[in-house]
Amino acid sequence: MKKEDEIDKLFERMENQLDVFEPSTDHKVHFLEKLQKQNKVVSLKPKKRNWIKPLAIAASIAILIGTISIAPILNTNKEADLASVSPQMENTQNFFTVAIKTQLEEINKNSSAETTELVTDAMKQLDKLESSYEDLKKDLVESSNDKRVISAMIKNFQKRATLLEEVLDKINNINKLKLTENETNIL
Amino acid sequence: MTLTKLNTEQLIERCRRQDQGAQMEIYNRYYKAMYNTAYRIIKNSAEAEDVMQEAFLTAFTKLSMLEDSSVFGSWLKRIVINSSLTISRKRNIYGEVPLETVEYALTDETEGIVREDLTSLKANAVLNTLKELKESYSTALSLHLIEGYDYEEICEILNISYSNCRTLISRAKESLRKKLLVT
Repeated sequence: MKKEDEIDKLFERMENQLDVFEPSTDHKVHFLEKLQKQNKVVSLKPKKRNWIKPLAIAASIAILIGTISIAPILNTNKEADLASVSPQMENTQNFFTVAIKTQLEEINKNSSAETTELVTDAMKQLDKLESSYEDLKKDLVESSNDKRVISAMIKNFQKRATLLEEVLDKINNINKLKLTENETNIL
Repeated sequence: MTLTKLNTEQLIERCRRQDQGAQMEIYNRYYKAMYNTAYRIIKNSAEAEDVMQEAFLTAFTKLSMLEDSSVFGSWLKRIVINSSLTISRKRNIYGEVPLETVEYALTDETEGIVREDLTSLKANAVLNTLKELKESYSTALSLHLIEGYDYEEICEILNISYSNCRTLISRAKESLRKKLLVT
């Protein structure tokens, strides 16, 4: 016989004999007290609930309607970004902002005395593009997401990115020239 | 009163209408089983009584959630088991030791009489030995062997995996067997 079966058999034999413990002698009295208390509470509760529940629902609906109707009014005061058009546009915007940021960092790293003129000019161009982007943001709200405005915004981003890329290219060129200038190579 | 002659399902229908007499009759029919179930997990008489009575009160208020009146007993038992486990786990967090499991006299385990088999054992002796096992063993065994839950149900109650459950029960059985043989 398997060892474990011994235990199974033992408990099979003892079925219905194992509830040997008794609660305290006055447990029924205690329970009746608790039960009476509970039944009183329960009988009162529905009346209260009848008022509170619909009231709470009505209040939450009112708040919901309020926020929904106020939301567009609040929005018109603000400018809408490309990201507010669609999730895809949000991706596009994120892509460009990250690209522009890294390019700017790159430019800062590589700029030297010889390139300051170039960089300041590039920043002026960039500022122009940025201010026209701000105008486009307002246009986007006024035209309620017109496709032409959206494509203009994307083009604006592209222009900024290519501008910075060109600047970076030129900076690298200048730095290279600087190096070869100091070489004493004989052709 | 004729309440005692009614069957459980009829009584439950009356309980749904908050008939206090029916509620007390249900209590009288089930309290002992529920108390013992709670006691085997909590191992403290006062706390077990409290859990048992609270379970009845919960069951009566949530009776509308029970669709089939015929399964009231097992439904009530699950409430008792779940709240007992909550109490026992809480106690484990705080590292409390139930008073009733503290041994007041030194018992020499090696000098006991070694039994041939388990056939001569009495229910009380088995229960006391079960109580001495470590918490997880005694809980798993009382659920499996006394309350009659299968592995899958125990997995769900104790929130453990199936394989963990099997090992737990088989180790617990082995540990109980060894303890029972030496008395």
